[in-house]
Amino acid sequence: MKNIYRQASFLLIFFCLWYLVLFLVTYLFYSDSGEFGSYKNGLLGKVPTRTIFLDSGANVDLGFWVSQHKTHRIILTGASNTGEGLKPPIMQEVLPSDFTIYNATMGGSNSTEIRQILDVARMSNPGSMKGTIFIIGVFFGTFFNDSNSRGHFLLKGKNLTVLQAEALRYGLYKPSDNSLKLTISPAYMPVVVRLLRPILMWNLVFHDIKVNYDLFWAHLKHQNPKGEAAKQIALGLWKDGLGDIKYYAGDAQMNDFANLCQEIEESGASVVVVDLPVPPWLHDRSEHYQKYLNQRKIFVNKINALPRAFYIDLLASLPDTTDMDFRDSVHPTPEAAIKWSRAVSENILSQRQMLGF
Amino acid sequence: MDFLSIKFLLFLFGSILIVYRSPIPYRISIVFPLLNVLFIFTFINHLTALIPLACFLLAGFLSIRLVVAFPYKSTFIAVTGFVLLIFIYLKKYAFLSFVHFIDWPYLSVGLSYILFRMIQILVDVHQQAIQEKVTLASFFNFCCNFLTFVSGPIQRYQDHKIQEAALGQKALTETEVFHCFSRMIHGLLKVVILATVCNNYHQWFVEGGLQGSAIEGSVLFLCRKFILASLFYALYLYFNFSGYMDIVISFGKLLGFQLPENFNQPFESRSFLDFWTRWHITLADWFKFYVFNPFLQLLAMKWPSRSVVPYLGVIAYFFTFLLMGIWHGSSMTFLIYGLFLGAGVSINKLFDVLMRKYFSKPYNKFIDHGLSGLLGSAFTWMYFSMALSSFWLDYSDLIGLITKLKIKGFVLSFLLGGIICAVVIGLFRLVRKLLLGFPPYWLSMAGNFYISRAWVTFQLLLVIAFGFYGFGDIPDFVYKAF
Repeated sequence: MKNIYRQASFLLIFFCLWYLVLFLVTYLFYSDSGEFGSYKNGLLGKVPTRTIFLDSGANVDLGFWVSQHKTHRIILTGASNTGEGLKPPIMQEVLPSDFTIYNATMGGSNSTEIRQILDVARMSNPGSMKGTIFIIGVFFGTFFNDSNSRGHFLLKGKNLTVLQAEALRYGLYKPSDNSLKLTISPAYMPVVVRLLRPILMWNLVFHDIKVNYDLFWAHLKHQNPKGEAAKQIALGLWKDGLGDIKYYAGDAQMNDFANLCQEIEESGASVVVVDLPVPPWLHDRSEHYQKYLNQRKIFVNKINALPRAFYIDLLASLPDTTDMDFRDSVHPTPEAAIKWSRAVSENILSQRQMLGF
Repeated sequence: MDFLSIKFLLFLFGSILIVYRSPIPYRISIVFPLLNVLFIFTFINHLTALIPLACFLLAGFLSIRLVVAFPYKSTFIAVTGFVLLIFIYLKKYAFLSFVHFIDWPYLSVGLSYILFRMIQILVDVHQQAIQEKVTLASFFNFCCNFLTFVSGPIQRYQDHKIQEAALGQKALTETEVFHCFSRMIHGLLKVVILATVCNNYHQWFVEGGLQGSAIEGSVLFLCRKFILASLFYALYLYFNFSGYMDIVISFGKLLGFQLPENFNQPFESRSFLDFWTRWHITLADWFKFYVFNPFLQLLAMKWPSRSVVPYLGVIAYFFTFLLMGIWHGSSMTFLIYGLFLGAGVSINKLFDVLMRKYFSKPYNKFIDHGLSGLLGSAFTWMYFSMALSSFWLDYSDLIGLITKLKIKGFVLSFLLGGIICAVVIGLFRLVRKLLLGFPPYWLSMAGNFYISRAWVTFQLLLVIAFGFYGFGDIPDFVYKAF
């Protein structure tokens, strides 16, 4: 038994040493939150420079606990077109310098996942959410039913969103009523999250291997359809992804979204809902888009009635938007993203009294 | 209990502590049975789930008592048949669809392996290879030893008794203890990383055209998908199963058990027959002793000519491996698996018999040649990988694939896959040769106290990090289902 104790102790000591070394090494490559949401690799880049904690909105379960913001913070949520279309550095040029902007957008997210981001933001900021502005990018792709969410494929049969799956990964959260609950005291979270750094760095390595591998195969199979063929493929994908038109963007879901905005507002934060443009060619050819146009008034009226919330129809603000402003069926070109970011920031600035800054 | 859970690892480490800390006289009589009971309890949510297992164990124990009390062949056959019937009933075999099964959820993990142990005791008691009295406690400890409960390795009762008596009393050297920890982490590495990666590739190829209505395309397209899906599944199964064995055997050693090995470099098999002396060894040995040998004896009694015996061996091999295949599961796909295995070993045996009879000298020269060894390994792996498709395709998909590929497609898959395996195994052997050719100084570095411990703990860190990364994707232990 003595030998078992001795060898187990040796291994434990070696393990702790490795952990410590890797913990220190992580600080050579990643600060705690300094690069959060920035576009270090150039403004025309598609995605923000990542941090060790935050790759996308799916990782806010860790990132929010260690982020240090100035007086005001803006949390960008929505799908990938919000992430690509609203660039923090451009917005920072227009907005006052005491703002910190977080890119917490998540590819393919719907209103359920946006609610979960809000929940994590609230948990990580247990006092008032005053000083926080939620910018929620919406478009016709935001209002699909949970059963169509790609998150449901992540953990087969477990019925989790991407954000929930990410949050359950380290055992710091447990699922609760379609959202999340902490398993440890919030007071310990910043320390525990930081202690995970060596594991997180490995995860980034594994993640990069997988992503580059997938990209390699995708590149080999790439057929790059253009023109009408590309439009047909996109229409097909949206039709499948958004599900049966009968259940898509129903009154209940629109009301839920309005309630979500009200909840955010009641928590002390402000809400800006940005309706993101889609290419003009898609307007008449997607029945989902047409239904969305009819249904959106349900939440628009309710949001505009809230004291610290407003709705921006970005297409109305940028009437000269053409098909050339898009690289595909929903994502803007980098040049268009700069226009979008400026337009949204100027809108926010014009409402600064209402938003309380 | 998920064997990759913290709960499982804590249980194993906790059991070492408890065994070593408890007074020696109580280790076998109280501590070990309690640990076994506790382990079984981790699999159930309600006590009723244990009733069928308890009945099965009781039936097995009473059968042994009957064989001792009435040492006749008829008693032995009757009680063995009775135990087998209970097993078949509890496993809910598909061909018994007309039978009304128990409709509440019950624990079926470990049933197959308990059956093997029961039959071993019954046979050995009947043949008087076991002469001492089999007590209820020793029977329970043998059948439900938590180290081997889920899926072996299958130990002999006699060996178990000797090792149980020395439970926690064997003084292990520091090097032995380190090797146990090292092997455990190596096992985790296999299960968590290698098996997960192989399973993901396997899934990728299956979902890309080998399931349901997606089974379409040219024969060459399907062959390509089938070869890759099969090979990755075989690798996945190997890493999953052998990794689990590494964990169990090394924990057993820390407790004083010398559990038998289940794998011995299966990539080195020169033929399908040789393969079964290297893969799931304890299962193959069990079938050899308790099915093949008696069945061959039976055939030899019927046809006593010495010249016929090798051909009777071919038949006995077919029957044994058919049975072994069917044992793996209760659905019809496992009958196909059994046919695949039976055909593989019997053709291999027949080929061997005929070649030795008619071309003895050139054949011996041929099998000693390095290239024949490489090709033997490669085609053995490909054949086994194809046979394993019964594990990952359901019956309708398997029939769909057989209909699409036809014999031509299967032969093409076997040949192309065999060539791929030959290249991969050849490269693997070359790299191994190069590594072993390193100057002795470098090799001795690997044995250095600090370097070896640093390397092992680095692997552990890698396993933990990958465990978090692959959260939800790390497959469960495959053989738990059998």
